[in-house]
Amino acid sequence: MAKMTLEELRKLRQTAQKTIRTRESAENDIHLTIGMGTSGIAAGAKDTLATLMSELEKHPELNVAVRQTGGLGLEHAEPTLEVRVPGMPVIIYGKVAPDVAQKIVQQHLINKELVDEHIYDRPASDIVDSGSAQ
Amino acid sequence: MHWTLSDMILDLAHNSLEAGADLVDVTVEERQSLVRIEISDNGKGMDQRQRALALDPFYTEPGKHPGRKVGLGLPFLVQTVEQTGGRYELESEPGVGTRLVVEIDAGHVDTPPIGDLAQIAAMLMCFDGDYELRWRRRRTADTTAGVESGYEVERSQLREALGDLAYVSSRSLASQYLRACEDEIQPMEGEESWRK
Repeated sequence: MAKMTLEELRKLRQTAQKTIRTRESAENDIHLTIGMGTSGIAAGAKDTLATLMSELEKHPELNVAVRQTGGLGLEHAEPTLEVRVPGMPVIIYGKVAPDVAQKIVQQHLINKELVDEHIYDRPASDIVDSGSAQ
Repeated sequence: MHWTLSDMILDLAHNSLEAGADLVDVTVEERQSLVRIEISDNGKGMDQRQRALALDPFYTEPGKHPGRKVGLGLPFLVQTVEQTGGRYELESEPGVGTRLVVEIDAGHVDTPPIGDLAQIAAMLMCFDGDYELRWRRRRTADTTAGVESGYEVERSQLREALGDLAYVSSRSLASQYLRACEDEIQPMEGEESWRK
């Protein structure tokens, strides 16, 4: 059975070190969280995430962390995406189909303008520490 | 509604993480058109009553989904198994963990496509938190000759190589690696008709 070898791991690490920026400025990074629970998956969050990843791969300068979580508390609006861009309000977008994900990358992450028609909420109070939502 | 078997695997393995597991094993084996899926975890487990309730589409664990009172992950799978003549076993013990085994005929007309396993493997590696996930794939393309191929990837290996898997650059490499592993598996005759 083929298995990941140490040599392959080393190669992966070398490739990764060339492309991954140092994390010293993590507070300036963009943080995205996508709801990937049952309702998110059923609503197409997998396709949304795949599109989001391929869009973000075109913009390595953005240094984005994409986290997957269960639900963001807005199951009626799945797929949902929380966007934290330094200097901008924390936004939860809803009904984020793949084409909307592309728009969010271009308009919110790059042009720093909100995508008004898909704003649903700030984070639900039970999933964030008190005061962390701006 | 979940469209592929992969969607269901992703959902159920994520349930394991939500049940507090820090070790999740996922195995997907194919022998001709028979697909065997095994998901086991060391999460909080379920007693007999909870096991029965977990199969009820109109039940979800209290407090798990604020504002929602139904959970559909396991019922989706059981419904699919039952309508295609497959079988499943659900074993669980409080404080020990849960093990789910499903065997399903991918060639049955009502079986959903298996979907993109490399894609969900990458997604399973990238949930938040400190957990180990072992992803195993096996395929016996020719049962008479016993030709078997497969691969095994652990989340800790990917993290050791790539660091924080949340970052797009790391995730992309993890995805590429899993895709390459999946592509190395021996193809089966006639699989295009049901695979995707």
